Amino acid sequence: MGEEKLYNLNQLEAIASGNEDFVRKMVNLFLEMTPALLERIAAGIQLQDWTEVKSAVHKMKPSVDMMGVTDLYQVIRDIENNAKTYTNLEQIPELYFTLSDTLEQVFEQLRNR
Amino acid sequence: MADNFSVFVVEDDEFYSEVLEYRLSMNPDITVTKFNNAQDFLKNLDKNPGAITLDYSLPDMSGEEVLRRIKEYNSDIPVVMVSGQEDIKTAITLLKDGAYDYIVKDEDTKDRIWNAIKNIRENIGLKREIYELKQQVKKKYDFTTSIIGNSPSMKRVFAMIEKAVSSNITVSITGETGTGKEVVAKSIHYNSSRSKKPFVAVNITAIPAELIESELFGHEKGSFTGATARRVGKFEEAGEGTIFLDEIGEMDINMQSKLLRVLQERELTRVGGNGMVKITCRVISATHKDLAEEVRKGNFREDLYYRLLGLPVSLPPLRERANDTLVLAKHFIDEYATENELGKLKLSSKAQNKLFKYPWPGNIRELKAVVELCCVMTDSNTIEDEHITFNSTGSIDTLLQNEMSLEEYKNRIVKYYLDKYNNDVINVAKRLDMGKSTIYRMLQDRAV
Repeated sequence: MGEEKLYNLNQLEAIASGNEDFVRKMVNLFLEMTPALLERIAAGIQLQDWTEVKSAVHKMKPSVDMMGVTDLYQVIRDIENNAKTYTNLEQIPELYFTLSDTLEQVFEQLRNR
Repeated sequence: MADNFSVFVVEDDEFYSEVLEYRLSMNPDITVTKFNNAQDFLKNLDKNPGAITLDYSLPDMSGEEVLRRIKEYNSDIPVVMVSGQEDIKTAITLLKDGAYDYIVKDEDTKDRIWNAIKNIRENIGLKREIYELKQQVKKKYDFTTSIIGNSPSMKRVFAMIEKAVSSNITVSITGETGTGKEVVAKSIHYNSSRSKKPFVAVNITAIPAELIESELFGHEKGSFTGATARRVGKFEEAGEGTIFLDEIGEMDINMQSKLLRVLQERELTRVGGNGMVKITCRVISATHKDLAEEVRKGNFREDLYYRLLGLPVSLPPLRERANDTLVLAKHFIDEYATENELGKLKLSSKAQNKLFKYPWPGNIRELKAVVELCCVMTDSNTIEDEHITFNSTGSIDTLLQNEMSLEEYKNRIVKYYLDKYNNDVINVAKRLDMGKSTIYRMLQDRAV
């Protein structure tokens, strides 16, 4: 596969300091918990429950950062901030699509790692 | 530090808590226990973790509330707050509520937490060390071991010290130099209810008169040349402990009235400052002078004298303490022998006699110095009288100790004066009120 990797495990590997089991465990954990969080965000947007959106995005933030998905760094923060301050709420669905599309690709890449 | 250290990680983000656990467990001394909600965690609080990292946004309870419960349970457990966002207001509130640190989740967090836990462990080590040292100091000033003596005059002193220990009264200690005024002050402090608070000793003679006010009461920045920063004075430093004012009789009369005002009002103003600072420490003063006499001469304020008098403890000079000289000498010999890992040393009866007869103008301090010297001088395990040398500075009592004949004393005295006045016989004769021909005769006989 010639496509560019959307994630970067440098940070995680630095913490693992050579422990490949730990990296594998964390990648699996990421693959397990992130889809559920995405669903929570989607449901929140549908119900216009911005508190729920904010809280789910907030929980997603450290792991996405840690997996080195730099394309999403700003996207996640924008969603969180807009939902928290009730500003530019109309942008959130658009941002969400970017988020979920990118993450789907990341999942795919990680599974085939 | 080598013992196991338990850290509770309270974090609802599973991914994050895995990372934290992994990072912290790199130190094999650290055991990590994870919790993903406040209820489970609070149920386990009685396992007394060494430190806690606490996520601010838990699903079932706010971070502030959890922190409050931890502090209620045991305020000594350090809590590191971890939060998803930077919020200075929250951070300040949490730190005020007793959080040890506030860390924002980002890529450096795990290292910061690692450092925070490291600091906490060092801190606990230091606290333990301080506690142990305090216990040692306390033992050292336990007055059954630090003050020694069986003489009737010392029994009276002990009775006074016991009264001082069980109350909060101001104490004034008098006694010649070297009688142990500071030892008594420390024993009172370390056996009183204030023993865990500081003991601050100030020697009035050791501080230049113009600096004493700022030394005692502190100063504000810029209050005089050289006051480059605000400084807390000794009274504030003592806090709820004890301040020991040594050589109070040497305090200059202006300063006396300032001190009197502070003692009366129980509050002070720093030099150059406006605000009042309450003082809560106990005051123990000491002097080798007869303060009542100084009051009569007008050198010491009468009102201050009564303010400081409180419970007077008068330490007898060593020469009035009968057998205590030998008891103390033996104590110092044992102490010296233990410290220097020598075997048991004893005093010959001649040596005992010599120590007993000497008037000890420098009191216990001198006795200690003399005894330590003779421990060095002896080559066997017995200290003989020739190992004992007295080096008192110019006291007539010391001279008399040599037990020479009157003739010899006379020669010594005349020789001293002749040396002092460049062999001016007429001057010396006048000063000593003796005939100049007597002196000439002594010179002729080469007696001097």
